[in-house]
Parts: sequence; structure tokens; C-alpha cells
Amino acid sequence: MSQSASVAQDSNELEALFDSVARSDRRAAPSAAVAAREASAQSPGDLRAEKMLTRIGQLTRTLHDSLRELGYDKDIERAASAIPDARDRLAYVASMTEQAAQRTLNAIEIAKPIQERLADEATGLVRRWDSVFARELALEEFPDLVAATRRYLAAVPGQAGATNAHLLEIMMAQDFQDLTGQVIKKIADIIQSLEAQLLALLLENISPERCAETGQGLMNGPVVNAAGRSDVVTSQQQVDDLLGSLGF
Amino acid sequence: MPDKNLKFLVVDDFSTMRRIVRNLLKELGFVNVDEAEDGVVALQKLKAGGFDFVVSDWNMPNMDGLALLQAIRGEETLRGVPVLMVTAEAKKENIIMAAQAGASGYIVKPFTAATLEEKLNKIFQNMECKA
Repeated sequence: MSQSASVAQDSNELEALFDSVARSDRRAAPSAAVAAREASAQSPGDLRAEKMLTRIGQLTRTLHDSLRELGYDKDIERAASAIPDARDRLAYVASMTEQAAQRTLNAIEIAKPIQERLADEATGLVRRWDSVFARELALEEFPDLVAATRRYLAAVPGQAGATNAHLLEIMMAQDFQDLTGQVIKKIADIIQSLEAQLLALLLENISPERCAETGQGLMNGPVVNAAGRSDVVTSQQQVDDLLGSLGF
Repeated sequence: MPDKNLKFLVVDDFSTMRRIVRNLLKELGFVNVDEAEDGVVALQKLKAGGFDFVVSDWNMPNMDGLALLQAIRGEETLRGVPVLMVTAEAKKENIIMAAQAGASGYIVKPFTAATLEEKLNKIFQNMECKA
């Protein structure tokens, strides 16, 4: 089955599911009198479970709508056209940034030797000219030195041009940022909304004792926002100071 | 004066970072550089012998940098090999744990070429003092 056809089929089935949840949701918001009758017929546990199920249904619906919005938005679709869901989009971002890094490093590894050769040849010629001015060069060697110098000067524009081309390639390799930036922003919006709703759901249903903060562990990755934190360092200098203060 | 033929092992799960560290070491004159993508592969290569220096990330699958460091320090034949941590982990807890486990140095990402050179030289100096 083609991708768009299977997505369409998923869509129809999901739509049907959401509609049935929405109907039960409407049933779950009756008048006060009916509510009182229903409450006496169900245990508190049942009521809470049903309420949570309804909230999860609503949540999933919102997520589905957001993802659909993401998928069919023309600009984003063009940028991420082969990708059906949020996890694949993240993989896309990772892959694009890696490609950009490889492209950049490739260009650098080719351009560096060009620059090094340019510098080395110039240094060699300078040494030979210095020996001319120190009257150490034999007269017969002079024409050869002049020719070598002229050859070098003639070659410089070409070498500089080659390096420039690699620099341009490095610049172009940064184009990933525009595409990944768009995709990341959309994913961030989805996640933020999801988190807020899940948090609200949890807070409504969790008992107070379970709210204690658990330890963060040692695998946290880079610190993205150090504001208000005293348990992290923000520069190499602080790392060195901390180690120094402990005698390392 | 450090021997330019020192054999380095660069350990990081991101190939881009391994490539950057390799190029920086090359800039400093060290061309004998091998790579590993996690602590397990790193330990295998180290046990096969011949390595003089380890530069390692922390957050890696299969065996993280701290576990690798502890394994190196616990192994008779590898105990004396310098291990320079280069990692995004910036919690004070991380830095202290690494130092206590025997890390020879700690560089936090993002880092500069100058920082890498400075920390390498500091470790070389310490090595010479002990020699």
C-alpha cells in the first residue's frame, strides 16, 4: 500500500476512534442530577479511571491533530516529505546535522593542505631571497630564483581560489540549520503541549507523597539552561577552579 | 617534550567529534590516533596493547566514560595510561566523580583547541615529573 493511502486509512480509523471517545466524553458531562445518580452507582475508583481514560483520549486527539497539521503543512512537508511521524523527524534532524558536519570537515581537510603548501613554499622562497640580500647566493642561481618566485606568484591566485571554493562549500553546508530549525520548532511545540497536559493529568491523580524529586543521575548531556542552578559549571575555568579547590 | 609518536585512543559515540579531536591532535603533531565508539570497543583495543593516551567522552552506550575510566584504572597493564575526559556533562557531581575515579583531566564541551592543548601539556608535564 502506498504511504499516503495507508496514512489516509489510519486517519479514517483514528478519526472514528476519536469521535467515539468524544461521544463518551459528552456522555460523561451530564446534568448535576444525572451525575449524582451515576456517582452513587459507580465506586470512586471507577470514576477516576473513566475520567483518566477520557482525558487520555482527548490528549491523544490533540496530539493527532498537531501531527496531522505538521504533516500536511506544505512548507514543512517539502522539507520533511518522506517522514511520517515525530520520531522520524528527529532522526531527520540528526542525520542532516551529521551530513553538514561531514561536508564541512571534508572541505576543511582538503583546504588545509593547500594553505600549508602555500605558506611552506613562500617560506622557502623568502629564505632564498634572504640569502641573496646577505650576498650568499651564487650569481648563476639568481635567474632560477627569479623564475621560481614568478612561478609561485602566478600559482597563488589559483590556490587561493581553490581554498575559496572549499570555504564556500563550508558556508553552503550550513543550510541544514534553516530546515532543521523549522522541524525542531514544530516538534518542540507538540512536546510542550503534550507535557503540559500530561503534567496536569498526573497532578490531578497522583498522591502527594509520590511528588518527591528523584535524583537526576550522571548522564544529562549538555546544560541548556543554567539559570538558577548551583549544581553545574558553565565554563572550563569553573571546571579548573573546582578541581583545583579539591586538590586535583 | 612529548614523543610525537604517542598512540592516542579517541572514544566518543559521535563520529564528528572523534574526527574533530583527531584533527586537533594532528595540529599538535600527534598523528598516531585510533578511535572507538564506546567503552566496550575502547577497552578491547586498549587491552590489545600499544596505547599511550586515552581521550574519552562520558555519555556513550554500552559502557560510558566513567565505567571505562574505572576499568582502565582497575586493570594492571592499563593503570598508568592517562585518561583525559572530554564531555558535555557539566554537573559538579560529574567532575568530582571523574577526578576521584582517576581522570587525568576534564574538559567540558564545547571546548577550544587551546584548551585541549593546555590540558594535554599539563598531563605530559605530570607524566615527566613521575618518570
